[in-house]
Amino acid sequence: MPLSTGILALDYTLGSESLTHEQLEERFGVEAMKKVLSGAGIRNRQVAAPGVCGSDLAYDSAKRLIERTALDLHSIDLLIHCTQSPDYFLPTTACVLHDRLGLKKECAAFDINLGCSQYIYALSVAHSMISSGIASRALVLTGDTMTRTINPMDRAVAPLMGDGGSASLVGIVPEGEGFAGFELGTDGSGHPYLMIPAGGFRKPLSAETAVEVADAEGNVRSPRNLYMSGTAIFHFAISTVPKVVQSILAKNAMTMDDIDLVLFHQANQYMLDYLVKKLKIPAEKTHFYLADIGNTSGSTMPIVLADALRCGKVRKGSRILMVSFGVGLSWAATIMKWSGLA
Amino acid sequence: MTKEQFLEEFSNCLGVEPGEVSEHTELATLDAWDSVAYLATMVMIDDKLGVAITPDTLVGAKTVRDIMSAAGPGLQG
Repeated sequence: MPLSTGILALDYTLGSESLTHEQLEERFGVEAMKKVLSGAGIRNRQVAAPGVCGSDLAYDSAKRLIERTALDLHSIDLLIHCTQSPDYFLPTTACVLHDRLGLKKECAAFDINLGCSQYIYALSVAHSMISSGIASRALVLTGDTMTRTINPMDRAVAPLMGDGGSASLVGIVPEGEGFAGFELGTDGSGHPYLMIPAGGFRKPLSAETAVEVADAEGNVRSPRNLYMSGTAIFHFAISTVPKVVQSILAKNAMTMDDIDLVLFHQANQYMLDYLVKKLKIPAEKTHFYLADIGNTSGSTMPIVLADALRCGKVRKGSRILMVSFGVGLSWAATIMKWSGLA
Repeated sequence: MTKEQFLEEFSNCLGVEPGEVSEHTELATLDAWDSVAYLATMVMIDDKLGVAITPDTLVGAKTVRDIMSAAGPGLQG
């Protein structure tokens, strides 16, 4: 019988510098930022200091987790690092982090190149490898500095994003606790709606890719910058997420009444408020951590989970439904019974 | 939902007074018809009429009536 697995410890790191509402008012104007605040619900973003990489945010999170839990590093035989802002094209950043953290050589290490859905995907892989006996204990790390990819004059995305990283220890838990199931999905036809077109092998960097162009609303970007079609992503989220939530509940023979806390990828408060309303989730059954830090891409899920723990919204035995969605287009959901922290 | 109720809800999406838009209004003449209004309109139609209207439909719409047509048979009168 497959072993039950769950999250045993959790930590996170935010970018150390603030990008405030007032700073962006100077850049984009008061009226434009009023719309951002009322729509996206983001007042402040925490961004990484110059020279700090996503892997540094993951590393700092892992070091704190290791020290706080007095973790025996020899027990770790799986390292999964999730990022879309890696240190290098190669080697994979997980190998660099394996070295920095001083993990043993009998330890699998690899990156998962996904964005907003990365954390739940990584949890599903860790769960699969541990429950089947391939590994016994995993460090699941996330770390991104997506703010570096944004043109400062792109009002469609610059006010939304922050930088962050996280570390989760995943291991065996008592039967009936931990992960109850996962729901993973993809709509690759939506890949142009959220992408950095240039810089890979399909469109290498050139003088042409450095040319900045303003769109119809005056947002400036080059093909080297992150592009997001806000309306397409919004449409994707409000039409897909409710179905994913209903599907994972049905597969686990549960209803929303069986769930104590629903956590969403922290993308945009306007979108999240609508999803909560559409899914008829009572206010006390959800939690947000977005307004003061911004959307930290794939790290929002572990960060909002950690904040819900800090706020006392998660207790031993709590049933938590987490759902994330974004670039790809890709989505992932899980239901877990919280077994307490190590 | 009646057409009149739709126009009132649509006015709310734009942040303008009801009566400032009719089904014949050309969207290009509305300063408030921007990406934020697209999101609000998508939510309103999904919420009130249960139709997940696509961004392409909104971007391609010339008049308010085009949006009403895309919102489907839930509109009466």
